[in-house]
Amino acid sequence: MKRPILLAGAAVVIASAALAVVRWTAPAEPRLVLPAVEQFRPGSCRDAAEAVRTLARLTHADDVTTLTAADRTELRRVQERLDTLRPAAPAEVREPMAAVVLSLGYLRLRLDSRTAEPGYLHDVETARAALERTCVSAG
Amino acid sequence: MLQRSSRTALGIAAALTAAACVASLAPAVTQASSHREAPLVAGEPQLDNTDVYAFVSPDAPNTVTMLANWVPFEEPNGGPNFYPFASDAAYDINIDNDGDARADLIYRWTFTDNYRSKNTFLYNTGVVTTLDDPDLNYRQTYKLEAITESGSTTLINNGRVAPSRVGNASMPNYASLANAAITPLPGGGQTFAGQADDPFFLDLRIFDLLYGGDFSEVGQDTVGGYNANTLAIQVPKSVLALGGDATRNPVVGVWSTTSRQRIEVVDTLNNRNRYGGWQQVSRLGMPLVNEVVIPVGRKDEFNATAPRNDGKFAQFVTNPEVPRLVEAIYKIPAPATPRQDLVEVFLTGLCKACGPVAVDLNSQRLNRDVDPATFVPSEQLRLNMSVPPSATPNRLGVLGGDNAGFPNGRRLADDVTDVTLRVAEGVLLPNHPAAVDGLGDAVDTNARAFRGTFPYVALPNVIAVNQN
Repeated sequence: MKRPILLAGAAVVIASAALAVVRWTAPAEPRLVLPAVEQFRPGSCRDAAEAVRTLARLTHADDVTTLTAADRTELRRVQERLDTLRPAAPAEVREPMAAVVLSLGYLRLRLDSRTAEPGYLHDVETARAALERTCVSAG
Repeated sequence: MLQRSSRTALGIAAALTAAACVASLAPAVTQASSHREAPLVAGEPQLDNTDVYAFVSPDAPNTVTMLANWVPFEEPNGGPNFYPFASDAAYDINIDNDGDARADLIYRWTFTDNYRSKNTFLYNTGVVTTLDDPDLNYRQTYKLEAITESGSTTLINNGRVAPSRVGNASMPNYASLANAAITPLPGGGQTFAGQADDPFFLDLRIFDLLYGGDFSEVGQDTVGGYNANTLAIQVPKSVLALGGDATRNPVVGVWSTTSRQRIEVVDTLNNRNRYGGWQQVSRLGMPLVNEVVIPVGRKDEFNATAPRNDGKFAQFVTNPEVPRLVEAIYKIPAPATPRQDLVEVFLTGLCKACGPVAVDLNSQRLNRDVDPATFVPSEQLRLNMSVPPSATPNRLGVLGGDNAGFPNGRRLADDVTDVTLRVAEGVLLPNHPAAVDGLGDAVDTNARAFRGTFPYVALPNVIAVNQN
């Protein structure tokens, strides 16, 4: 009886050690660096800052399969927020904001249909980053 | 519209001799609907067409199989009366082979109730092993007619309906009962009437504000576990084709209808006396049309409308509601209207001369003997019978590169919900967003395997739905 317990214990120790080695040697996930809200240009950009930053957190993992039901709800909230802000935004902001709204629509549709692919998350991040650049550089 | 002479050579046209013309016998027919889709028919399940299927028979490719279902959401244990066809209704499968939106051939089933004893509450009084079993107290029989312009011919008299599947104690070998209800047709072919697993599969929560406020709640086969009443018929292609020539004229349109007597008088013993002639009250061709295309204020009217009058509903096809809902929820712009691509899919069939979907596939206008000037757009399930059955069927049919499937006819396993949603979102239009190619309800197959031979539908479920 003791022998199997010892063997099992040894297996756990070895597995833990292996996991630690893998984690140590694997490339670290890039740290998410976001501009502060104050860096967003006042007006529509500043109003959109929270949504843009939230979206960055959702796209940062770069894994469409890990998005949860709560994430999907958050994506919808962000999309609606940007869609609300878009009509009053300056022309140079309106276009990248519309691109985020549209790419979010495609992503959400695919997520809800259980047919999401990585490209849709990438497209959202690409559009989001463009909006962020527009808003921050214009600030 | 009717060129029946060559049909006679096959012995089927012989079935089509008689008295009255199609117009007088068939009080207008049309199509479209699904389960409980319109206010009136939702309260009359025996009259409610749920789905229509038409496909080249995979195991008999010289024939076409047509199936139509009625009586939605049959809970398997719904005794003591279970689920008969109405004995005061006409159940029709209609075929238009020249594109004038009028039936050139109608298969009509009418039913008669038979009780061995009315002094028991039981559907069966013992174990039932054959359709003639003395223990089968309630039996339905039917007459099947073939109706053409030249008249009506009775193909089957006293045909036997497969009984509702009461349970394993009552019917320990239900498959043998169902098989015994398959009846050969004079001149070739076969037919079946009886209960079956409802072959439709989809998540009906689409009506909960599109699956819970968006598409987030998908993946539940709402129809799974329920049964329906099936009428099936398999006939040689030449019987259906214009002029009896399926090579020159391979495209047919199919829809089912239910008609009832116009007047009902209820006496003091609760007898229902009906007369006044047939009036169409339900129709179904392309799936989901009356459910999600026609607005609620027009659904009952649509169910009573003949296809030749479908022009009055065209606006709901060219300016559909579903893409507007998707746009409101997902901010994805709806395709520009008017939607001529949808007109092709639902009202004309696909042909290069029909509209923007530039493929010749399944419009009656492709039949060589059809005069395009007489073609009338109408909602039908159109099938090009020259497309052979696929060795590897794709649930998405034509969208999946499988031209033997929906919307070229409809096979049992075709995922018409996903296809219809995608088509509504413009998947057939050039430069449509790739995202809509993946739209769907996450219910991709039927819960039960279909049978490999006629009538193909799975045997009825016997386990209570709330026990699944």
